[in-house]
Amino acid sequence: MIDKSIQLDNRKFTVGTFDDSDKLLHAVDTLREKGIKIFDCYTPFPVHHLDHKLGYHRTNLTIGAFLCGMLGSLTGFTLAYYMNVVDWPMIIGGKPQDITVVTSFIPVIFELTILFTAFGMVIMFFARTGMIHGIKEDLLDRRQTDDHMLLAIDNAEDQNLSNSEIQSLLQSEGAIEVRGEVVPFNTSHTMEDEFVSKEAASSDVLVDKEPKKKVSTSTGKKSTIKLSESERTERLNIIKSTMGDAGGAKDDLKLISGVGPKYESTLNEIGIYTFDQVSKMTPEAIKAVEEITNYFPGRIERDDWISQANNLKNK
Amino acid sequence: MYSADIRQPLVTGGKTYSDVTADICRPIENKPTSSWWMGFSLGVLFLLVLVGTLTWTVWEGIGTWNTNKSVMWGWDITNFVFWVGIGHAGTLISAILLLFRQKWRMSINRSAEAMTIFAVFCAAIFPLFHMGRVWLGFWPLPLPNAFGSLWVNFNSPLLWDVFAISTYLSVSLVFWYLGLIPDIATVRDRATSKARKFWYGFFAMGWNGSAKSWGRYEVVALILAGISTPLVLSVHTIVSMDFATSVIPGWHTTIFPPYFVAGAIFSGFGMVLTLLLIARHVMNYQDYITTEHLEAMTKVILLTGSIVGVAYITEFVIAAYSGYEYEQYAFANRMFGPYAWAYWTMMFCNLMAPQVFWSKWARTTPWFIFVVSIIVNIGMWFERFVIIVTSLHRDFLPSSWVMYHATWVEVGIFLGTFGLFFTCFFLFAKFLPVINMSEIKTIIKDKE
Repeated sequence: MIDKSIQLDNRKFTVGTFDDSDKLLHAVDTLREKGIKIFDCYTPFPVHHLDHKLGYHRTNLTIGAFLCGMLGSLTGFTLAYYMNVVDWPMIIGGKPQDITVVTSFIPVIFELTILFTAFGMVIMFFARTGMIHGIKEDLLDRRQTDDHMLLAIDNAEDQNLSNSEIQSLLQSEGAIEVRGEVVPFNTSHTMEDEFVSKEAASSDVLVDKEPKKKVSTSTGKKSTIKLSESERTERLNIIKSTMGDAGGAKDDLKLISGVGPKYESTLNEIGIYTFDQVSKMTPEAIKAVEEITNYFPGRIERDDWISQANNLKNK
Repeated sequence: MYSADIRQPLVTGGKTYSDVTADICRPIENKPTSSWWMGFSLGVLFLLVLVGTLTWTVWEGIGTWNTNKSVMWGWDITNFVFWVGIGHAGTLISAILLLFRQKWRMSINRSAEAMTIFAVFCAAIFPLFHMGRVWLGFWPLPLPNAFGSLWVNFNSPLLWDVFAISTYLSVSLVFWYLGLIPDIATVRDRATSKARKFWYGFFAMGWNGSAKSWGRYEVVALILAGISTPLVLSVHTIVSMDFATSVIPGWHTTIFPPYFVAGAIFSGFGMVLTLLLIARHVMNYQDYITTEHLEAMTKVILLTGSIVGVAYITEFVIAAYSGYEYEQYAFANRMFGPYAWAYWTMMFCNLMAPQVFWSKWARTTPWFIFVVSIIVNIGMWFERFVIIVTSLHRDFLPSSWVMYHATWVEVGIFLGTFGLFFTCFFLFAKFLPVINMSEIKTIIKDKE
C-alpha cells in the first residue's frame, strides 16, 4: 500500500538530476522505450504528463471520494430525519411531519456531503501515499523540493542495459548530474549541506562524513577528489593566463544562468569577477574552473557561459 | 510551447526555480523585519482589546451591548456577516479560479486562503458570544441532551448556518493545509536549525515530491476544488437565508442568496487587495504579485460590485412594485430615514466607487487600488448594517420604534477582531510560505 518508503530495504539508486522538466520528460520517454524500469521521479512541482509517461494509472481516489460523499448525505438525512421526524417531531409553521419535510433538511445534507467527501478523500490520500505526521522523509537529493528533478532507477532491478550504459544514457539526455549508488537519506538526520557549490566553496578536505551520498559515479563524471596544492596553483595559473585579471571591476555573475550567490563567491575566490573574463574562457580554462571548484562537469559549455557572458558584457 | 504574447508574464524578473524558493523562503529563514514587528505588535494590541471586551461581555452579561428589542441584532451580526463575507475570496480564488484555469490565482491563493480561515475565526466569535453563556456554545450541535430528547431544529436557517460555517472552516483548513505540504517540505529541506527541521518535518508528513504522489495530489486538489465551489456558494446563501426566511420587510426577498454571494466575493476581494498590496510592498513581492494580478482582481471587484449595485436597485424596484406598504416603507426609510447616512455611504462605496475600475489607470495603480479596496471594505460593512438595523428599528408596532447605537464594548469587539485577524496573518507571513512555491514553479516559464 505504501509506495513511498524507498528506504525500507536499504536499496540503492541510480539518480539522474535534471534542471528542466522537458528534459526529464524526454529522458523518461527514452528510457522507457529502451525497456528500462524506472523506480520513480521526484520533482519540486507537479510536472504535467509525467505520471502518464511513467505508466501510472489515474488514481481511484475519486471513487472513494464519491462513496464518502454518499455516506455524508446518508448521515445528514438520518440525523435530521431521526431527530426531527421520528424521535421528537417539531411542528414548524403547521408543516407536515413526514417525508415531505425533507426539503428543509437539504442544506444540512448538502454540507455533510461536502464535509465527508473532503475529509474522507484527504485521509485516503494520506493513507495511500503513506503520509503521516512525524514520518521520516526519503530524499535522494536535498534540492528535490527546490529545483532539482530526479529520475531514480532501483539498482536491484534487473535491467536490460548495464548500469554504466544507463548512466551515460541519462547523461546524454541532459542530466546535469548522474550518481550511481545513491542511498536515500532524510534531512532530519543529516546536518551537512549537500549543495555542490558549498562543497566547492569550502576548501576543507572532503572527509567522507556521509559516504553513502558521496559515492562518485562509475564513469567518474563528478569528481569530488581534492586537488593537491600544486595542482590547484597550476589550474589557477591557467585561469589567470587565459581569462586575465578583473582589474578591480566586478559584474553581477549571478546573471549567468547556472551561477548562484554561492558559486559567484567561489568564482570570486579564484579571481573571476567580470563577464569579460568569463567570455574569454578557453576549453582548458573551463576544465580548470570545473576541477578547482568541483562544478558540474560539462555544464559551463552546455549552458554556454561564453556567449551568455558576451551578451551580458555588451548590454 | 504556445505562448500568447498579448498577456504579460505571470511572474516577472526572470526568476529561476531556485530564485523562487529563495525569495519565498526568505521571511521564514531570516529574522523578522522591523515592519513585521510593528504590524505584529499592533495586531496583538488590538487582540488584547478583543480579549478585554469579550471578557467584560461574559463577566457583565450581554446587556453591555445595545442589542435589545426591537434591534435584537446589531453590530454583532453585522460583523459576523462582514467577516464571513471576507472569508469568501480565499476559497473562491483557489477553487473556482482553479476550475476556470486562471493561472494568475497561483500567486495569491495561499494568502487568500489563510485570510479566509482567519476571517471565519473572527466571524465565529460573534454568534458564539451573542449566546451570552459561551460555555454552552456547543448547544447548537445535534447532541443528545440531559433535558429530555429535544433536538436541534433542522428546519432553521440558523442551524444550517452552524453546519455551513463549520464545514466551510474545516474544508478550507484542509484545502489550505494540503496546498502547504509540498512547500513545507521545501522549507524542511532547506532548514538549518533543529527546531525548524523538526516542525517543518512534522507537518510535511514525509513529502518528497514523487511523481506518484504528485499524480494523486493533483486529483485530490481538483476534487477538493470541485466540491469547494458549491460550498462557497452555499455558505453565504445560507447566511442570507437567516434573513430571507423571516418575514421582516427588507429581508423577506428571494434575491438575497445571489445578492449576498456576489457581495461576499466583492468584499472578499476588497480585503485580499488590501492585504496583498501591503504584503507585496513590505515583502518585496512585486515580481510575484504583478500589476497584472492586481488588474485581474480589480476586474472581479468591478463585476461583483456591479452585480451588488444591480441587486440594490432591483430590491428597491421590487419593493416599489410590490404594492406592499411595509416593504415600501422599509426602503423609503432606508433612503430618507434616520439611517440615511449609512445607506448613502453604502451606495457610494459599493455602487459608485468600484466603477472607477473601468479605467486602465485605476486598475494598474497600486496606491489607488488600495484606497478603493478600503472603501469597498467600509461599504460592505455598511451594507450589512443597513440591512440589519434599518429593517429592525422600525417594528410593525410603532411604539417599539427605537434608535440603535453600538456601545464601546461592541465597537471594541469589532476592532478587536481586526487584531485577531492581523495577528494570525502576521504569524502566517512569518512561519509559512506566503506564495505557493510549487504552483508558481509550474508557471514561471509560461505566459498566460
